[in-house]
Amino acid sequence: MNNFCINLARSIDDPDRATVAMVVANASVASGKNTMVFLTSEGVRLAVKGVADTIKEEGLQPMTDLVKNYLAAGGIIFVCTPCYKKRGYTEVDLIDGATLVGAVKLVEFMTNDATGVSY
Amino acid sequence: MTIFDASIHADSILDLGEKNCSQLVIEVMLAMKHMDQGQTLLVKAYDSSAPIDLVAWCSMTGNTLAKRLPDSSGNQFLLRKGQ
Repeated sequence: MNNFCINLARSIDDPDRATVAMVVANASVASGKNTMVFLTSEGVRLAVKGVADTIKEEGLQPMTDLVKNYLAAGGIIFVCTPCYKKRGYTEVDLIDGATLVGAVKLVEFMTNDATGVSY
Repeated sequence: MTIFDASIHADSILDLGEKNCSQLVIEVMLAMKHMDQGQTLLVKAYDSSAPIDLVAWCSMTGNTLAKRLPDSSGNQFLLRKGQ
């Protein structure tokens, strides 16, 4: 099983949990897994330019580094489109490397011999 | 870096200090990315979880933990690049 999904519904509302989720995502992509972070609900704010810079949990890597390293290593970030738009964001606000998608992309990934965790 | 066993040959060396968890494995992955099959990377890591994590990482990525070299300040791990 080489597909690994991290479903993340937290960001600035729970920076500790959000950071740990991205730590796991980095470990997964570093271990050769085809890794996808699915940002949903409040998690979508991580895909907004500048938001990751505000999350720096003591004892953990800064969120900016985690996102940057994850993308550089080939990790995928999918962003729930309705969750993103209902918070007033547009494509102009989206960080490079993230993709707005519908829930069907999560279903497609998970039904292709995947496993995962949810935060 | 001080190599505990001078007879050990490493094609590359990576000093991770106290880095752990995903930061540790992602830096190992990046260091090995451009190495050829069979080449070796000497990793120095102080964190206590490094031995367990590196064994798990090797088992998932097709690389080999060829040798572990304990020293006074941490641990050194000789990894051999797989396919």
